Amino acid sequence: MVILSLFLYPLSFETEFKTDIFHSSVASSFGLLGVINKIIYGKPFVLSEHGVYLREQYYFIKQSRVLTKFLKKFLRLLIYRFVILNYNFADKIIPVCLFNKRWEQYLGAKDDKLQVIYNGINDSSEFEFLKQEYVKEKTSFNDIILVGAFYPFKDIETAIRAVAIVKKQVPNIRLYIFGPIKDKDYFSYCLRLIKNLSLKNNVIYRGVVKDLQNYFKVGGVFLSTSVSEGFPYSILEAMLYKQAIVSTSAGGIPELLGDCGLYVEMKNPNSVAKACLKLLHNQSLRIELGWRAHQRAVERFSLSRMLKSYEYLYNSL
Amino acid sequence: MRKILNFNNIKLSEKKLIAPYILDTAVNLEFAGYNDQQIKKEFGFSNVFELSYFIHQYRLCPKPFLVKSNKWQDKFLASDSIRLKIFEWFYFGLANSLLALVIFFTLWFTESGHILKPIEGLIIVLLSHIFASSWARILIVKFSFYNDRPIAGYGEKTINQYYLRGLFGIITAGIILFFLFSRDNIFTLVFIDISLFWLNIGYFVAFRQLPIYLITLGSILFLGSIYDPFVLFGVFNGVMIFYIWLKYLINLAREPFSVYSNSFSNNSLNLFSLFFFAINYGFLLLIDVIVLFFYGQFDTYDIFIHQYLAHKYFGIFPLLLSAGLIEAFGVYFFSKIIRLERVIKESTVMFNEIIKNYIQTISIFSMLHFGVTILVSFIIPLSNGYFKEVYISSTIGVMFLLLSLFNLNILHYLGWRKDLWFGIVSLFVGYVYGSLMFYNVAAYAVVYGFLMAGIVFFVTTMALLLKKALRYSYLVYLTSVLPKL
Repeated sequence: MVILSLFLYPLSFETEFKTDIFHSSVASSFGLLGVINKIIYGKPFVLSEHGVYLREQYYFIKQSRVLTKFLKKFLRLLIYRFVILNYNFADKIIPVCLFNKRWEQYLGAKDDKLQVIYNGINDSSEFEFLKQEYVKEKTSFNDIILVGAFYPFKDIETAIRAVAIVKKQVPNIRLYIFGPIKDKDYFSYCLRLIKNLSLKNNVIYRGVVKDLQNYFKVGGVFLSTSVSEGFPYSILEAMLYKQAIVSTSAGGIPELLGDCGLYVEMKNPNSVAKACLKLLHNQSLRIELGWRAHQRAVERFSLSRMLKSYEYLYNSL
Repeated sequence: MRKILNFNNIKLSEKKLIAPYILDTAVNLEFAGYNDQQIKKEFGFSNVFELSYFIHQYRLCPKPFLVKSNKWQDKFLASDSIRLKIFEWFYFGLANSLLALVIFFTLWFTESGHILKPIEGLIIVLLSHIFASSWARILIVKFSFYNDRPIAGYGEKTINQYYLRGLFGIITAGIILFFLFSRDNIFTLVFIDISLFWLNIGYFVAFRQLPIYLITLGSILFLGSIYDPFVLFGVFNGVMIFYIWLKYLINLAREPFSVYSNSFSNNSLNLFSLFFFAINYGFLLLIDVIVLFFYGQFDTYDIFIHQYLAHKYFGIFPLLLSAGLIEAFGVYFFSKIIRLERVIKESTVMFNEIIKNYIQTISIFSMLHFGVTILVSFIIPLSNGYFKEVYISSTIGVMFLLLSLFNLNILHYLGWRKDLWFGIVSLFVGYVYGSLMFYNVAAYAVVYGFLMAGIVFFVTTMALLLKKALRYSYLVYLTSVLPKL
């Protein structure tokens, strides 16, 4: 009932908005408002998708232990219909990366409607540390930073196993994990794994912190072991902070990172460990990758660039 | 709403929706860590969607039959939709009636009277083959596919309580008739023969198909009373055996595909049906020996009985033997495949092994069957060259048809629906071609028509099977390396 009421919630709004353009950030039932405005009042409807709604919902439905088989089937069909409805009526569909675009194409969105606008990040002078070569020494070069929620498809398990391998060569290795706990079972599983692999001093969980930038330093190693991503802000920030990035090629990461990082195989701790060791042993490579990533982030994924793209888009409707 | 839509120039077009299963599979693949590059590199598909479509297209898991109630009535009602029931009752009955009618008219237009010529007997056997394969094969496969689970679940316990009572009634009536009233009555033999036969099949046949068998029995009984009940019942028995055999082959063929539910637990192959065939054949023989004993005509039984027995046993014997052999080799083939599925994960090796085993199975079967056919043709009590020629050709034709059925059986589980038409067309083309070879001699035309139909049908189904087997082995490989979808 909760899920169904969530679907019907947008219908309780007044449908006529005193706006020129309706922009939905997800192709869900909330997009219905845009569809209604489009049909009745002829107002343009823009749809941007940060993750592919259908893809994520299908995953959650599959994971659900509460829903019955019938409900799962019903919800799958319902979500699919919502998505199709959104795609059909949207004047422009904005995937945040090419990875998402292929899903939208497959689901029937027309090519002339699709326009990729990458997410941008603020590179203004408010971040003083960006001007500095080195920042406050809270981390050493034996540290690896991972920003991501405890969730199965962030695959933190692989990162932990990789640390166990790296530890053989670099005994004082430390993996800092930042992010919320979204799946308690997975979190406790990871804790057990840390205990079993005797990594209590090597894997440090910091939760959600406000001063994350203080943990970064130029040429530090940043790790992402995700098996599913859209266009991750965490990597974008790491790029801005001149981190040497080790990442899987999930989702839109290759579009984001380009050749400014090292790619590893998904769910392969050996591959991750190998890449991390390569960077830990090679300072010049770390700094080079960090600077290149920074350059790429500033040039291609700046906030101003993104805003201009949206401004142009709105004006064209 | 329609006006507003038109006013704003919004056009809604109907689109073919993607099956949610495909989307679900694609999602699962991506969340399991597969991306387009990886899939292209490892499996040769251009992207995740293409792979998930492939998996969907060749998904072989049968629809699970879930009935919670233990009452057989509930299971019967819940087992299928009304449309399917009507389809089954109507078309299946129609097919059987047609079979009976064709046999009847085939006999009617011959000038033999009560005593059949060998060619007529063979035509009956062959016709039963053709009809059984073209109608019953398709339909039984379809329905037993869904009915299999309830049969397995309650067939031996619940149904037989009701069924056996009726059956024993028939047997009792037959025995009473035989001993007390009409020892010369031909129908007493029929009663006992059929009753014992049904005693056998009672354990194996779906309850819901019994009315259809009764319709068939009634129609043949009626027609038989007009013309030649012995031969017709011989044919009827043959057809029944054929049905049961098909049913067992179907059950057999289901086994190896347990791989798709990611469980290898159900790998015990059923060898009991071979025993069943032997028992059934023994019953037929026993009853006739008993009858002959009571007639006191062991040495001098007339040509009528002679002809009947000749047709009944020498017509059905190769068929039974074929059934048994095919089944045995089916067991051999599928058990090997199951073992391969467990051990081998590489698609190319898997494919080669399947082909190797298939060729072995078919070749051994063909040699044995051909040998038996030749042997039977020599020992058959009719030293008629014309008959022998017809007999050998027709039984070889039957052999190929049976082999085709073996192929079709596998094809069915590899998703044969699209290819079915090729098979049917090949059957027709082969028959026409064979008939034209000897169009001036009616009997030869018929027999060679069957022979060529059998050969062409076999070649076509084998080619289709090879094509499918390649995809199947690849799919097995995929399911072994991909995560549980």
